[in-house]
Amino acid sequence: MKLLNIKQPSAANQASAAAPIIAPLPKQVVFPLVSPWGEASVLVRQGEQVDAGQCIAKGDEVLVPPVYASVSGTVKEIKTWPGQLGKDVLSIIIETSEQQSPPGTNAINLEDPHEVFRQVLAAGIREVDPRPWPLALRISSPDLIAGVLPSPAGPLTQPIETLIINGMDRQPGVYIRSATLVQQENDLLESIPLLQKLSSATRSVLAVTDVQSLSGDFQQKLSALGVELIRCPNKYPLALEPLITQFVTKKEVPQPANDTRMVGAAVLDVSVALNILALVRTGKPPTESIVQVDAPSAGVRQLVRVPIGMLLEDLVGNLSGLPAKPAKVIIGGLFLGHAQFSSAIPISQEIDAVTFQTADELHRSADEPCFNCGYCVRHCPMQLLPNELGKYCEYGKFDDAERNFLFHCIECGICAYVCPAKRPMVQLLRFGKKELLAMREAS
Amino acid sequence: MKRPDLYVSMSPHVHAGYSTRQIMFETIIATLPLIFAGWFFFGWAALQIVIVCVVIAVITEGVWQKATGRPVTIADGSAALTGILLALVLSPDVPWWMAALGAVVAILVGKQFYGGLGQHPFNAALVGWAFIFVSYQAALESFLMPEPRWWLEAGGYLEYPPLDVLKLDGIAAVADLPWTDLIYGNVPGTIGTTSILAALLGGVYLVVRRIIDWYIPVCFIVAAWIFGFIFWQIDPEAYANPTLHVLIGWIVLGAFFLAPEKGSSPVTVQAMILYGIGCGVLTMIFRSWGTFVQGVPFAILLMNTLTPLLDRIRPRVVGRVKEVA
Repeated sequence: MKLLNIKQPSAANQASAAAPIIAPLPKQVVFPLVSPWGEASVLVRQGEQVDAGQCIAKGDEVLVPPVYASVSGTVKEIKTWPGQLGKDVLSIIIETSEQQSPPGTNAINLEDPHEVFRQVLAAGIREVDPRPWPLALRISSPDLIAGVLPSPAGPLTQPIETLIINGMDRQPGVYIRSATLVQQENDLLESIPLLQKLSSATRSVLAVTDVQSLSGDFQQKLSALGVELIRCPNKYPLALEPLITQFVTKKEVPQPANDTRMVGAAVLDVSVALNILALVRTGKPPTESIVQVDAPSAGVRQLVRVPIGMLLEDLVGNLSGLPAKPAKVIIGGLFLGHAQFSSAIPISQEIDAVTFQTADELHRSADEPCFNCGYCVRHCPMQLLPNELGKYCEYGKFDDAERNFLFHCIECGICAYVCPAKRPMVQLLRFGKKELLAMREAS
Repeated sequence: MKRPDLYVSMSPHVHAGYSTRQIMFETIIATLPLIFAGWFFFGWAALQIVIVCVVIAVITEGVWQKATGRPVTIADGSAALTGILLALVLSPDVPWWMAALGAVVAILVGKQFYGGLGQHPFNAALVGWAFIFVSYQAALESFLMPEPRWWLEAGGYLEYPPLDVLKLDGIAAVADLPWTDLIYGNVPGTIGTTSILAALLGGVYLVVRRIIDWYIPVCFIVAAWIFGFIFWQIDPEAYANPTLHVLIGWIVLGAFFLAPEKGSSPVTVQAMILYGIGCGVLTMIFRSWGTFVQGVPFAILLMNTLTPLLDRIRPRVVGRVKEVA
């Protein structure tokens, strides 16, 4: 019998993971136009030639991040395409041409923070975690924002006190941040002054787990840059934005806004910091992203550098050792990831990992009743009562759920992970949130 | 659109791997020392009662669920556990039909009428016990003398459970009682409440395996001891030594097995602490000034009714800040 020992699963320390392999250029790439802040409008026509790094869609508002082609080629079609959240979204499909234009070399003038800020904003860098604001607005000081937005929203007028560079992996099994941190430590060091300039933060912090291996040289250079190295317990879900902010600043991030700017903190992860560095070096938005491909049953653990917009099925075709017939394809890790209907989804910047499960590994939730064991209550990082919320949502008592802080739930999945009755907690709570939002819209 | 043959579900896509069934069976494993102690001191009669209770409880649950068209969940072990716990609080001398009746009432009235596992407000085993207690009080006053199988000498100091003697004959009657007899359970009493050693063994197993948290048992025992200590200090002639109270039976079993029963105990830490303290204090109040001999079952049943209220004491939700009102 397996030991009944409820521990928060630890994030894997895979800092020594092999360097990413480079995926070959696919035949076509796909760029979804949606973002949490609205849909970008298309700037190109069908059949048009585009260059790598060319802007192909742009938002009407500053908040909507623009979209850039990651390869040179021809616009094949503009139509709906499967997206990673299970819905079909309007996307631009580009057929790759043989001739690829060389990467840009127009470095940005680093002396002028306004210029850097404008470039970061225009680059439309997307992040893995769901965020209240686009990257550039989240990590920049109010002065810089005021130059672009005439009347910024309340939290954006607050100065940033703490800049947190998150080197912790989001969830157990995903090691992309800790690995990049080690593999590209010099690049990271180079990006830090840039971020400090953008945010005008008085305190900068690099958060890593207590098992992360770092070279002494790196630590010295960090402190020379005035960056505090904070080692955090290696426990899921501490790496998630509101919790790491609370751990570092000792201030609770107000929920359900989930906006760290309200407590004067800006959090960004290591990969994004490196993306910003790539942007200022080349003057062009990033065209590649690193994805972790995991198939636990087949023993596959691999970082792959892919062109943004490459289809998942093309990536899979290029890798050996993956299970021939996966039962589940998960974008993201085991705790936060989304299972996919289709392997035709494009790998956008929001995707940091792909996990393949075989039929034996599937977790099936059951329809057993909750028997009030309270494991979820004792493990909830937001100190909610998931057992109660789950029942409220199951039986349609959404108002009660809202009164009991349903919207404070960050959907980390710990409650469903520990539930002995195997109740689908995250599904129930998301259902409740969705119904409440629909009700609000209707009224 | 191409749709490959893929499963789709909400996150998380992984599970810690335990189940309702496992929790129930681990609790049953924890009761094994108690069942052993029952057999060791009271012989096969004790074992018979345990078997009758388990069989009848499981059958009752199965028949009821079948009859009401609900999924039959006897395999999850919760009915068997209720049966075992009921047997542990009965005298080994009760007639088998009475134990069977108690098991039926425990499962039906205590559990299924409220909607089954997790929905019942009272500890199901204690509901069965209370039914027998009010219906056949005389039967519950008949006890077997302990006859250890080997090794120990039979503890022949008392003819009745020490708690009854303490209540009815006063402190002097139990003054000479060797505490080792109490710890081993070498005294007359119910099948599972006499042996402190066995109850502790099972209880520690439960806590170590994280089936239950330590808050309820520890607060229960400590609160009972402190409450008893205060009155013992005030008047040692009228009130017994608090350690004697803890060792005299029921409290350790109640603290580890009956009070923390999942469905009827609170879930937040603060509430669990208060619940444990409440159980301990009420036990001592009932024992010191109540009409009945027993304190523990009534204290637990009473605190069960407070569980929904106690569950309103909850930790402060993270991120609840005024600005976002």
